[in-house]
Amino acid sequence: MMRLVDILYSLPTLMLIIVLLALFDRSFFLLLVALAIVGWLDIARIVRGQVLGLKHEQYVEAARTIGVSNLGIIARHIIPNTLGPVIAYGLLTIPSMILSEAFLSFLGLGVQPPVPSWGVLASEGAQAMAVHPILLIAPAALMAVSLVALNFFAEGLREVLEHE
Amino acid sequence: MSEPLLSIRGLRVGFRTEHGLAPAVEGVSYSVRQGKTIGIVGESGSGKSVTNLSILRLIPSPPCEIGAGEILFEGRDLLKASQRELRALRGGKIAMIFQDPMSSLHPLMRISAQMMELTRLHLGLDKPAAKEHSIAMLRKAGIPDPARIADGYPHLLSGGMRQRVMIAMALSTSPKLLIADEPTTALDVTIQALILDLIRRLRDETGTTVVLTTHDLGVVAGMADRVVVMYAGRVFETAPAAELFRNPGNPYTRALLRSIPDVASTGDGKREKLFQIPGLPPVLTNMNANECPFAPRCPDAKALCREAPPPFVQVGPDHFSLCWEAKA
Amino acid sequence: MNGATLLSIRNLSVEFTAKGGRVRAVDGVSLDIRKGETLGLVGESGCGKTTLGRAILRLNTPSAGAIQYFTPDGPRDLAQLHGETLLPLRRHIQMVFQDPYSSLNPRMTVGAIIREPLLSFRIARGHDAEGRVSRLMEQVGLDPSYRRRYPRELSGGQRQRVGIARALAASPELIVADEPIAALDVSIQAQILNLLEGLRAEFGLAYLFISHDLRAVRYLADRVAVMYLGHIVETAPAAKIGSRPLMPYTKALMSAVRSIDKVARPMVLSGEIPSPVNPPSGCRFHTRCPWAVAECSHSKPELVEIEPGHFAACNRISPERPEIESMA
Repeated sequence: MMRLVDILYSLPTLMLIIVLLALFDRSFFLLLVALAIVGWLDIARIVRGQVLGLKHEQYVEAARTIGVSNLGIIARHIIPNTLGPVIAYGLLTIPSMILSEAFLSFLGLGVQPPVPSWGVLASEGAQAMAVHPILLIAPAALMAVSLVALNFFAEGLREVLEHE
Repeated sequence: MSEPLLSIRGLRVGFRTEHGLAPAVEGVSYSVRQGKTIGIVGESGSGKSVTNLSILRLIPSPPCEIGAGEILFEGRDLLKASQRELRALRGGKIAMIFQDPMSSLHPLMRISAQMMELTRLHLGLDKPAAKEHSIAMLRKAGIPDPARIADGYPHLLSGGMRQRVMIAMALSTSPKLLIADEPTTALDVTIQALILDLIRRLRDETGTTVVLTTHDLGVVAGMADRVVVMYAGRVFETAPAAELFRNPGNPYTRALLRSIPDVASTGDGKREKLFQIPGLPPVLTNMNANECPFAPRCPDAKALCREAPPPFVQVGPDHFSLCWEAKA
Repeated sequence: MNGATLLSIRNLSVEFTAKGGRVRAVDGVSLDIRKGETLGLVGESGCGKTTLGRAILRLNTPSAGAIQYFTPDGPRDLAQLHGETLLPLRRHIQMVFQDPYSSLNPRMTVGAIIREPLLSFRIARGHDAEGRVSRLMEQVGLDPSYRRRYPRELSGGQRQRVGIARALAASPELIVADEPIAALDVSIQAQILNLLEGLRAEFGLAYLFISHDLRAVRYLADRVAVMYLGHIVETAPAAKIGSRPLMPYTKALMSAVRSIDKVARPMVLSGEIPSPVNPPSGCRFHTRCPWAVAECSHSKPELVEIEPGHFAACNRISPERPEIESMA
């Protein structure tokens, strides 16, 4: 399974997405699929690392000695203890996805107008930059603020979860 | 000879945290004369390690705050010494060994290089002499094939060997004072015996004064001339070693001695319940300053013990105890 | 004094792959544990005692040998069972782990931790389970109101009590206690030892008490087995192992434990503990044994009953000549 992850990981993601989008009809759905295909790879690695570490914790061994089934161990002992980094990392992928989408839409590969997205807005704003700079600055600034806010939120959540 | 080599008086050390000042050492005093060995016994929270590390001011200064007291070494107050003066002493006249030898051995430097660094600095030896000296010290410390080991790196050695290297290093400058902070706690029993025997031999040979910290009363019995028992950041009892074991003058010391299983098993299926100290070790941040810190757990506690902090009373020749019930 | 055999280990071997090669951490070990008795298992790093304890709990897979557990329906070999078939037998043998800080799931409440075995072994559920949890907590000296707390809110000693309650929940016949007090303060150790002994008397439990703390083992155990590099080298009643060790390694071990009332100079062993990856030939102890002769490096000694109930594995002693000191 991890071989698959390794293989996919080695492919240049942006190129992969561009190829996918070029081959098939551009639609919002396809964009999501493309981003999802490359987006889960990092998390897969992180979760695997976490679980491998946890497998050897004494409380997991203790669970075995008290007769907990494998499923029970995963459900009650492993998953709750991986949640912290996984949630935090998961949340961090949101800004990353937003950025990727914006980039693709800017290139014209993502959503098409009249469907709005920051990427589209930035793209149109870039074209009108000389005349009405606000059309570029506004979406760019708002996107930056949102991304930073999401980053802080993810950090904060990670700290809270870790303190437990 | 009448002046002790090391004399700690009224030391108070705390740690500045976001919740205020967390006390670690609350008025500790003891002294040790040249050539003698003092054993400091205490559990977690007793403050023994913080006291040791404070002698050479090894704890970073925020958050550590030395509130009061004097640490007199050869008559000079180390707490007033500058960093430069302390550096001159560290490794030279005052050497220290720790529980975890890996923390004081540089992983990326050859052992000979680390030892030579010390001897060249403090003894002024030139390179070849320093190297010879290092190999000789390693041999004295019982390390087989010392020339080869000296050219190697610490991570290739076992725990017991690293501890021996650390001791060799510490004693290579013939320090006047050796501070050993739980040097054998992490080691196997037979290796512990080896290491303690080594410290004893080298000490007897060089006349070094030793401050040995441990939680194991047995270690102290074999090594120390004098014992200091610490609890909750204070000295609870101090006495010559033989006297302490024969005639403990403090309920905490007595309780510690009684709760250690020795040869109590009668082997016929019935065994006496071990004496146990009830309750939990103290947490210094929420303690009541108006009572004896051991009172909540003390089997002999009286009403007075919870109303006022106990005095430090002389109970015998050179034998003092922090207790309301202590009598000469 | 003790009842029928509960667990019979025959020629058990457990292998691992470590850097350097295959390690046989447990090499052809045989021992018996009887109902209601405490067998102490002692040894230093690398001797295999922890691996042996874990093998009994099937936390690893033996490479050879048998672990016969005597159920009312006859003996079952745990070494041959896996997964589903092993599950019902797990009830009978439970473990108390060394580190109270990592043996409890930080995300589960104390109550949930103690309840878990009741659910997984289908012993009780719902209200009945809660009642049992309360009783178990009381039996180990914990206030039942602590059930809603998380492990991080408890001290080391309290956490260890939770671990003990968890082990008791399934009403086992044998508990393997792997260094249960090593991580605790000295003043708490006696509390836990007393607790373990009290529970044993009350529930007729058998213990395999694995520890490097010889004093605690001599107190709690009825019989003691000494391990060195994967082999059992001596087995004797607890009272005798301290007063009359026969095998040289045991002698060294016992003398290294400092008796508090006798300031004894220990018998000091030369050399380091050999690496288990490449153990010495013949008698594995010969490289450090003060009485080793040429024969010892090729002949591997078997456990022989030198005196009634007292077995030792040494090439040079025999029932006719049990005292090794009498030989050159």
